[in-house]
Amino acid sequence: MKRPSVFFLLLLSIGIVLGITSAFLLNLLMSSHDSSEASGVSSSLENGESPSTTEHEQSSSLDAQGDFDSHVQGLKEVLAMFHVEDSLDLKAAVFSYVAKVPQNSLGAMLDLLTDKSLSLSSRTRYELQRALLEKLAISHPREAVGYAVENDASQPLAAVSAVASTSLALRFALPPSMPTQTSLVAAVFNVWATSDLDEAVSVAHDLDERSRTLALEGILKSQVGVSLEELRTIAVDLGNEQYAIDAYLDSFNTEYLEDPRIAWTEVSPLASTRSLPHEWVLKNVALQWYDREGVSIVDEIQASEVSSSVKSETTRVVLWRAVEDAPEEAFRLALKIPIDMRLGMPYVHDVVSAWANVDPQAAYKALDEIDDPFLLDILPRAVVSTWAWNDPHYVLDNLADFPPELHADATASAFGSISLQAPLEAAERALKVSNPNARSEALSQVLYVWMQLDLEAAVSWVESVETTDRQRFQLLETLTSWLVSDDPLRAFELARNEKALGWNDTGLEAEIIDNIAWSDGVEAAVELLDRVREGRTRAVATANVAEIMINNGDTARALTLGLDLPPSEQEVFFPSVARTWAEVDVGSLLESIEKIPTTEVRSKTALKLFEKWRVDNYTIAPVDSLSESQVELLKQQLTDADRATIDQQ
Amino acid sequence: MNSPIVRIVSVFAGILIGFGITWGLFFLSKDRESTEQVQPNNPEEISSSDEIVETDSTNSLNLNEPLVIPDVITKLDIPQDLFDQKHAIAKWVVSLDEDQILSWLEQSTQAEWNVSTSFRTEFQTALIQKLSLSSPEEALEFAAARIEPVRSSLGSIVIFEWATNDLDGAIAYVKTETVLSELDRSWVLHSILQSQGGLSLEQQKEIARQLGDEAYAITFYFQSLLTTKIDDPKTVWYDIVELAVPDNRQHSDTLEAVAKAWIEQAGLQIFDEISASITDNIILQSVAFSVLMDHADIEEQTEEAFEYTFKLHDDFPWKGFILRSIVATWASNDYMAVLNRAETLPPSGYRQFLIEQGYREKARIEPKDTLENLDSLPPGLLESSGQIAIRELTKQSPNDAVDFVMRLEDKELQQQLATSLVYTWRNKDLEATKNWILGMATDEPLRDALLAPLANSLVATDPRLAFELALQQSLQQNGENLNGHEASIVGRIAQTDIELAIELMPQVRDESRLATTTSIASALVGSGDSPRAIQFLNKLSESEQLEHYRNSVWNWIGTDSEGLKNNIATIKEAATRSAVAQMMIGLNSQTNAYSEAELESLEQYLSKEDKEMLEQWLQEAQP
Repeated sequence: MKRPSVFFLLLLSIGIVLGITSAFLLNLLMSSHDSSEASGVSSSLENGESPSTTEHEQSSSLDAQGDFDSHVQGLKEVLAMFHVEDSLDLKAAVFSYVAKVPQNSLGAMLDLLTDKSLSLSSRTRYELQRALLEKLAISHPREAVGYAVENDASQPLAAVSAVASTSLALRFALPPSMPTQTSLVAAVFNVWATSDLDEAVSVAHDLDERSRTLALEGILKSQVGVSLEELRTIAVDLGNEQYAIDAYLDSFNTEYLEDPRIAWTEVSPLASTRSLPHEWVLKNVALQWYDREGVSIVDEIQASEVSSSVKSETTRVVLWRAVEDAPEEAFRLALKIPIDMRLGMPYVHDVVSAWANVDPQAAYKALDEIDDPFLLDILPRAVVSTWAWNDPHYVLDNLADFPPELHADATASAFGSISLQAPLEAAERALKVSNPNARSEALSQVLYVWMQLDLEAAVSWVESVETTDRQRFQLLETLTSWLVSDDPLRAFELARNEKALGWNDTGLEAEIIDNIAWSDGVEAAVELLDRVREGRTRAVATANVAEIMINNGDTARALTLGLDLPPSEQEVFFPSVARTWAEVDVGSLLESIEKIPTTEVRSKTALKLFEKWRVDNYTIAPVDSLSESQVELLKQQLTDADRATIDQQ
Repeated sequence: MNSPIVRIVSVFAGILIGFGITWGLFFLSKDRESTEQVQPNNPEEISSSDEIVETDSTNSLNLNEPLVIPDVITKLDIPQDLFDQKHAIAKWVVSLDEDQILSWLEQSTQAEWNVSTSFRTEFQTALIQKLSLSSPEEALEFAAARIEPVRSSLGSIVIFEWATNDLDGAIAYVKTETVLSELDRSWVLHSILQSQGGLSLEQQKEIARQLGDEAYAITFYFQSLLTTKIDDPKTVWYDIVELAVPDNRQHSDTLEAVAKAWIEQAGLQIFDEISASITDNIILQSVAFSVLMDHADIEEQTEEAFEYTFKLHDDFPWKGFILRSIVATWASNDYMAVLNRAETLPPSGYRQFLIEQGYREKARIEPKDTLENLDSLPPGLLESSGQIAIRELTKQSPNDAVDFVMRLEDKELQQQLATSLVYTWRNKDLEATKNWILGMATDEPLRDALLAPLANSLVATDPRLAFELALQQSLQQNGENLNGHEASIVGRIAQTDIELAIELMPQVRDESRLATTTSIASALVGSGDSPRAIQFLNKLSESEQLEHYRNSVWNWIGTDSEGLKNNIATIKEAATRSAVAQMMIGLNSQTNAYSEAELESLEQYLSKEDKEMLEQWLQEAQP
């Protein structure tokens, strides 16, 4: 009996060994099929292709068709539950669903989502894609990459951002726009790099530039707690070192820093003030440092070896914050910092401006300590302007208490503030300001604001206001100078209707013609020349237009314009264009002078070219650029009296 | 037992057993790979009273089953894998009530909770999303208390969720709530608009109008069109060009970006079509400048940009400005090309500019060569090119610049270039500059000429020395008068240190006395000290006083009308008082500085003749 049992056991053992061997061989066969599928994906990427649907179908063949159908059904059931996109419930349902999908069905599910006939919102599609990819990236990262590259979410154009302001004072506070959907490529590489950094980097290498950059973002994001050098190595490898610096700096942007002083030494040499995310980091680190150690850190910031722009902007941020807590201390500290106007206004200017926002009287009083003449000039203006803006009526009612040299600034600021709410009241009150300079400033401010709020009302008021001729002229001059760019014809009409003349006995419309010629073109200006009032005004207006023609090389037309004027106006026209004409085309000038009908005008025109004028630290006359024969030709145009003038020089 | 069938069955059974066991082991090992490894957050804190939240992803999840959630988030079992982390977060948060959410949010800001930044952000985002549905105000308050960029990122989520579910409520709140600043308006607006999918542009404008920025609806629309892939810039262009608002930087940026993409695709000539489609000149000039300068900034394309711009019609907005900017860029890269091109153009301002710019750049790049060949420069450019070259050479090697200047035979040119040298050198080494000038022989004309720029350079740091040096300079002809430079120096000192200016006053030369007195007086008026200004002016002769008052009364009234009126009685000479009063009254129709009563009171200072003259003048001035 014993011998048959042993034989039986032997046969059984042989069978077992065969069974084990078969199982191993079968497993090996299946594994090599997966790698060839993966290398197929990889070679597709190298060729710029994405994995074909066939490969996904092949992978799904490993799953029973019945299971696949049940997953599809499950997906539809999940989606059907949510008619309103409740974000968190959507996320929870998506993750719960995806968690149940086996690894080897993920690819098929992703393919399903690219089917446009499937009725789901872009947001839901994105959430599902991302979750599936993040799971697929664990076991089949290359397949995940292929899909992500083909189906990535579009990234917004970086140039278009919803920033509110670019002023220096506000730059540190600018928010970004609504966060956009993270790139699927970045998401996949974020997962992959966590488990296999080298492979992830290797595959990222083979992507096109845009995808490679997105991959780099995802990889860097996965490297938590890694040194800058290590991040740099990765980023340099993938073609953009700056991303490493960005990622490293971003790691300091937390609400609690262990040691903000140390953090400052790390971030300040790297950060650029031209990058908004860098500015956030600098601000965050600096303010946490300030919270721990107080405003004295400004001394250390100033003494640091970082770039002057980083030094400057972080100092300002700290001082602005310190003004809220201890304005006097901030003021005294800021006073001690040497002034360097290349970095903007002195820090103490920012401090007193911020201080004046909360306690203008204290800020103003503090200025008694100042003895630097430059600061004595700018700081009171800063305080008073801020004060006047915030409390215009108080400042205007007590203007006499301020030194005269501050009246203009205070008045302008106060009236600018009032005019935002009540422009008519502001205008009427501004008219009554006794100091002429201050009055002029105030009215300019009011008009500027009023025109933005209600152009018709502003124009109507200026046309009908009861005031001196000179005052009305100045008001119109201000109004039309701003109006001309938006409505040149109307600006011209308003100017033309004003009877008073300007400082050079010239009507206002001459100035408007000049503006129109520059902004709307010579033709537009020429069309209006017929309506300019005769005399000096028309001569000056025509000369303004002619100068542009000369600069454009159209000297013939400029000459025609001049010759069409009566002799009395030619007397103004030709001398005023002579200098420009000589600079541009002296040959045609010499020919054209011959055609001027009157001797006097010819002489005055030629004489103009002998006048010296100052440039930098030397004087020059147009004739200095002419040849001797050309100068001789010019002299022939001079009357005896004018020639005598030259001989005396 | 030994039958073949039994043998076969035995082997087959062995195969089945071996295969089944082995395959089962393979199956189990694969399954374990995809099973999460649970890592307790703080293993030592696990107590028997807490239940660990199940995180095995292979278990089916039933959202309806209540989970046991710890009160303290440090007890959460955070998975390692990113997918599982997100899954876990969603599962935890979806089951929280509002109090728990608020508690967890508060805890999530604590430094002691040792998690990565990305996990913390993901965690807070989920909590905020949930809280936004039940208590959006609190959610917003939490978001607003964070630092950037988390602050606006979470804030955007709150606003988005809120507006999705209650648009009117969200709008009403953000219009009044002060936790949001003016700077937040951009992402607030954006989030609200983003929540309202499928609206027409007009409907979006209406929402934006309620929030005080109607134009932002267009900006939002533009942003939705613009991605890093502008595959069809032409279509996008025509979608946006008529919507853009002038003087809106974001709209201009958008147009410029699309135009550049189109040009990159179709070549610069397509700008003809682009510009023809823009009806507003302000937009046109902005887009043209940006696009053409962008094109010109690439060295291989600069000339093309020039040629294209040059051919634009002369009335094209900003043509001159754009062309000059392109020429400046071109010249800095290749000044010879610019000069050569200038030779081919007919006379015009543009041609002149090319010539000037070409030679300027040559002077900057090759200062030595330019200086050695000044004679070869076109007439009219010698001084300007020479100055640029000497400044550049001074920056590189002040000694070389000095050597060159000292070799010049044309004394006028020598003085001009030496002055430029001084103003450049002083920025680098004021001491060396001073030593050079003062080291020259005292009878050297150049030394005398350079004392003025040296004094000017020193007035801010050493005003007394500046004054002394100015005194050393010989008197200079200024029109019909001879003046000493110390007058100018005292005038500058008076702007910042009036007392020092007054102290130095007695040392000025006679020829400078008038100019110095008037500049001090002007400075005193500027600082509101009209009484003292008048005292100073009283030291002048009557004719000098009259001349000064005539020249300055307009500004004086503009700066300190009250001071002048209140102190007119202290003007020493009666005739001068009368003249000043006459001017104050006569100009009042323009200055409007004095009331009727004040004008009447000024009349007491008028002499009989001046009063009659004034009356006559006022009568003639009547319309």
